[in-house]
Amino acid sequence: MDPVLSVKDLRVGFRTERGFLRAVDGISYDLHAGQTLAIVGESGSGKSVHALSILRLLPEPPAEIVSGEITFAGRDLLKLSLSEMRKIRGNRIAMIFQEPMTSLNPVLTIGDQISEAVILHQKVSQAKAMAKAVDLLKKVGIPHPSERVKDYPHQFSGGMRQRAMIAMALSCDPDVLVADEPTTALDVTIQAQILELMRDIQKESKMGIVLITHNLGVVAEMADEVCVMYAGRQMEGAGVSELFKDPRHPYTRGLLNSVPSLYGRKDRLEAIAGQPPELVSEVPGCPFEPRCSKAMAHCKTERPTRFEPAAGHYSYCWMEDAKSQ
Amino acid sequence: MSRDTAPILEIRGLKRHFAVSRGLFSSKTMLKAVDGVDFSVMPQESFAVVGESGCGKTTLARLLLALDRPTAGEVLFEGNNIFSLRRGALRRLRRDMQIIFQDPYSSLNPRMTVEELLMEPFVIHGIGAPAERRERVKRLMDACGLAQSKISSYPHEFSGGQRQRIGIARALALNPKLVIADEPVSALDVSIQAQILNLLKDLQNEMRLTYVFISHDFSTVRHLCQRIAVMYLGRVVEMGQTESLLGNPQHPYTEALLSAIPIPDPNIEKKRTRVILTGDVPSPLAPPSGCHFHPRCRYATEACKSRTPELSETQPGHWAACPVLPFAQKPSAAALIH
Ligand SMILES: Nc1ncnc2c1ncn2[C@@H]1O[C@H](COP(=O)(O)OP(=O)(O)OP(=O)(O)O)[C@@H](O)[C@H]1O
Ligand SMILES: Nc1ncnc2c1ncn2[C@@H]1O[C@H](COP(=O)(O)OP(=O)(O)OP(=O)(O)O)[C@@H](O)[C@H]1O
Ligand SMILES: [Mg+2]
Ligand SMILES: [Mg+2]
Repeated sequence: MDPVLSVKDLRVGFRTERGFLRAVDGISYDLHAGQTLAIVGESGSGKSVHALSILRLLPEPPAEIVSGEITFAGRDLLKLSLSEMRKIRGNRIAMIFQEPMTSLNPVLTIGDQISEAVILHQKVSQAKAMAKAVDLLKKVGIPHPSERVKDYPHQFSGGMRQRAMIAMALSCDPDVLVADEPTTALDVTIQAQILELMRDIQKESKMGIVLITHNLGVVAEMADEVCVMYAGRQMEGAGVSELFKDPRHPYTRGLLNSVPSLYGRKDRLEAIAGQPPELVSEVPGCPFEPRCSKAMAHCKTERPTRFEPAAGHYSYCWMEDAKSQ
Repeated sequence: MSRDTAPILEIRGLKRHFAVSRGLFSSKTMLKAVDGVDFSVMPQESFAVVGESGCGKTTLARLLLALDRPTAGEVLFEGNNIFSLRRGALRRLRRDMQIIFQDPYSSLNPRMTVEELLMEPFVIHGIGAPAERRERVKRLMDACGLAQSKISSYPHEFSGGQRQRIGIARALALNPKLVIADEPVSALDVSIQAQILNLLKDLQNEMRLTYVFISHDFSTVRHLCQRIAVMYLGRVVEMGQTESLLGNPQHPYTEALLSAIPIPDPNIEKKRTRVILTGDVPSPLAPPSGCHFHPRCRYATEACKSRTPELSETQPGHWAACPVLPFAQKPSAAALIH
């Protein structure tokens, strides 16, 4: 089956005073209908910049899409005019952001905002759109939706705002939902509700989800496929069980080992020493090399190519090269 | 930890109520941020306080440090009520009790270098001659994994994890006995969290520290703490040894909290039993009657709506404030440690 969304060698950077900052430096993946692809990585690894590039929401300049292809419904999104892009955004590809308060308008009621989104993409009357808004709020589990549509965002709790965002994102039955840390700002009991909600809706509508997170627990719970990012680059990717069972890349291994766990007994966490590199200086080799205990001489100088140790499992690491010889 | 040593910290009937007005003309309502908390901490123990946003953790931390005064109750540090100390004794207390903050970005003065930041506690308390101070700053930097070459750098030149190391070094400068850490790793990436958690553990052994570790995350406290208290809307609902509390939770809220945590292992995720709570955490301005948890509790009975449950010892050293005690006979399937 063809993927609903396909990203090829996406490179995005920013012109800054200190030089050109390579925020996303060669990312490729396919997303299939009804599937969830999780993108994990530390703060600053380029997850949000990649997401905003898919929707062409980055201000250019200072941002610059250097190269790549983002194929959706047979078209390259990077080649669309802004007005064509606007039709796709919110209608066929929707996005939810980490902090719902910044993306909800504080002076409009929740109902007005959702119905506005409905009207923008579907030619229906104001009354019909409002009825749909009530319906959507009910679907995302807001009690007494016909009264709550009249509320302003500040009258909602954090969890309710995130639900309202999801309701808005789903208002047009998108084919793809890009969710950037949708639950990071929420308490765990509320996070569990929101994740369950996303899964239920996906089961019904078969939408593809790109789920951006730094929480490996959320990945294990939600993802079909995983892509691990570091310093703007893709390090490794695989089906979720495969990735947790047989992580290949030293960074992925380090990440999995450093997570404090509720299971088993580990007296000491295995921390990865050091920090991610600065993105303004060109990294000719592997960006993880300075922190990598397995690094070889050419890791510093040559950019690792894509190795596929198993079907559907790739790793950008020279160790795979050494193993296959 | 021997049974006959006295607790370093004892908290008795501690309450902090804030008078807040809800609208321009409405009368004041009492917000019961901390509403009757009791526990004690033994020397060199690590004690965790866990709960969701707004349950009163930071308010409690401020009370423990005498940065705020309680509405009722007392806090005894080495047997003395900290709220009735004289100035000299309070000064002494400020050396013995330190805090590490959640936000390593805003808790450091941006105009001071690392050296100045770490020197300041010695200056404030008039400790040591300049040469000795410099020597101690160097040792602190070593202990906390900060490179000497960065001694003249400003906070903005450091990453989040390094800034948190500066915060820790500052807290430990005067050899405190008790350190209160309010979400010290929540703002950091996992790979950096692990570095800081290991550092806190090492320093505890070296300096014989007692920790009160405040967090919303059971998995981080599990690595550091021997005992855990779970808070919900200003009250402790369960308290016990870490393994006992995680392996055999007695309160329905603890059960739900544990089962809501996503486990970084897809095999476990597929198999586990989940309890998904309905509804939001209620507003502390209008907490539900009786047991605050009853509207979200799947075991609630009619009586739970009116009766405020007291903590009772369900097993040795394990306390829960739930008269229904649904897991007394059959342990919860959401229990996490096997
Ligand atoms: N408008 C901008 N101008 C300059 N640099 C930027 C801009 N936006 C992002 N960056 C940089 O791009 C890099 C990637 O940022 P991005 O927001 O994608 O990270 P992220 O993986 O989403 O991190 P987080 O987990 O913290 O959200 C970072 O180094 C960031 O500082
Ligand atoms: N000075 C104050 N005046 C009025 N209300 C306050 C004050 N300080 C705290 N509160 C309220 O007390 C309750 C508990 O707040 P607190 O900061 O202790 O929670 P917390 O458990 O630390 O939450 P978080 O996990 O979000 O940090 C909240 O409802 C808060 O709004
Ligand atoms: Mg981001
Ligand atoms: Mg707090």
